Amino acid sequence: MAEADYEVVWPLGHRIVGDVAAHERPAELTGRTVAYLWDELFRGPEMFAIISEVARERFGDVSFVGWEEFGNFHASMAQERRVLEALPELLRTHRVDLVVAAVGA
Amino acid sequence: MPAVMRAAAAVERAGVPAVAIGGAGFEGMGRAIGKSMGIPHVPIVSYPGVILTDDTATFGAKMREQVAPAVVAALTASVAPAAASPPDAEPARREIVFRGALDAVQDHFEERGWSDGLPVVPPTLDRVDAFLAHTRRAEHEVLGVLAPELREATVWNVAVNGVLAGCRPAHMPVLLGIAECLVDPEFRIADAGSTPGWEPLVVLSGPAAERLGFNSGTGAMRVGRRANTSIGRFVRLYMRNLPGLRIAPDHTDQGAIASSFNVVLAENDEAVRGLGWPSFRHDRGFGDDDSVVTVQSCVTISAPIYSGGDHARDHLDALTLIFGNAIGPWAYTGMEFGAWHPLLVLGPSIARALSGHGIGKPEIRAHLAAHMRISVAALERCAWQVGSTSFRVDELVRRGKLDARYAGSDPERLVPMCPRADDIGIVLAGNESRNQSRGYVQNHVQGVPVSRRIEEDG
Repeated sequence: MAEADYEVVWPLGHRIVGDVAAHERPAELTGRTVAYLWDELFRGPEMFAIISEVARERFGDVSFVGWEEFGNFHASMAQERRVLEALPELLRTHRVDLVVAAVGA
Repeated sequence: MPAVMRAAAAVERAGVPAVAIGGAGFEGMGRAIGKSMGIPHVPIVSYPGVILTDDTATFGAKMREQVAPAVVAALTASVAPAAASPPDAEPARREIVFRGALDAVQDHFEERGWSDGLPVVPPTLDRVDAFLAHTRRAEHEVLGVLAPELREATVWNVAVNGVLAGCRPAHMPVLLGIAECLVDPEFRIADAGSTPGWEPLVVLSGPAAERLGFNSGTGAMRVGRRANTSIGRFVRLYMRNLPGLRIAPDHTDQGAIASSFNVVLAENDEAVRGLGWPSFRHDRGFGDDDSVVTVQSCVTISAPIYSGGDHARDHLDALTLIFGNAIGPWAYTGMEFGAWHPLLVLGPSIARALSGHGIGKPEIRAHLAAHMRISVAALERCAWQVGSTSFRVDELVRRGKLDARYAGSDPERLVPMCPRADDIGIVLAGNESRNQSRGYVQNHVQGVPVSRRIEEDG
């Protein structure tokens, strides 16, 4: 007896994709301001101290804005929303050129 | 990693270039989320190895020699202008995507990651239509968008995945209720791929449980009854197919060891009514005539809690000891993130015994909240080892996130595992002829309980 064939449909859903254009990055960090964003996980402040040190060794005049200025984005939904919504203004206020977001795992 | 990528996306949308840092092994997850969030160009720098198992000297050396130079290079590297990613070809709703015999259908679904590793029921149009006949809602209705893959949850794809999971068409209203819980932003399904590997637990409370043939008695959480089992399977399938929570390294489910799907927990309504206790749905703010699904995360389950004795305290102390043991120092997560919803599945015979002593749900909650305790040192040690390297109970007290019960200077002082008694859920289920309960440990802000009334008027 011939086995029946099945005609089946797709189990997924329409994917929403909204690409953000890549922004130009500077060739060097001299005179630039780098901000840290931290989720309060995995030894972030120790990481940031070493990154700052290495960046200054290489480029000299680099400014850094600490994660405390922005708050913890790994929190309740409401807190995360608050922190991320406040980011654009805070990045402007601190004249931030680049951001390091950490630490994911 | 999901939160870091969400932060990087917010930064990039503000017009500032970002670099993300993560642990080795999380790049695939980060890239998948970056793609979903429209920032596929954001560099991800990985720490080589496991951050918390490296000693401080090794950590410092790796940071100085490898991670920090890579971060500096990523900050200054030119990134190719993002060409808009061409969307993957998406079939139309009723389009036939494959024709073949049963085995060929299984292979097709497995190769594309559309199954859960078990054989699926082929989602043919007539089967899907049979499910849709059990709802008045339009098949094209969008229920919400499910991150991290950012796919639309619709009435249609709820039905398709219900077919896949082996549900009955009459289960459709329950499936829709569950899907509505999953799309609620408060549930945070985007974080369901976190390393604790939590699993959604669905609680069904109300007349629909009996009507649809759910088991709320002996073996309530065992596979075997089709309603409990297939709908439990649906949840995990839906999480793979819509938010894309498939197993890493190429996908976004990073559950380190994790667990398989839970069957649906149905409340024993007859036992609840017999005691005159409020039902779980009542506790969740619904009417007694409603049937309600609640979905919450479950990160671990207690050992069986057998309790007996002449006094209420005999039962309460057993519940406290064994449920408390299951929660253990994981309680720190509730303190850190400000959400914590342990769920006690109470054996009906225990409920009757306690009721006979004049004890109801409020007294049980109050007892557990007061007596499940743990030392501050254990909480802080666990927090550091999980990765919350800045967690301090004193700091949370100082910020007003924990009250005076948590204050003190002795690290060995015992503090309550549950800051708020009212957040402990209680459901009556299980073997009525035995004196057993179990505790289900929830995972803080990830998978907070979300409830929806089932619309059974299809």
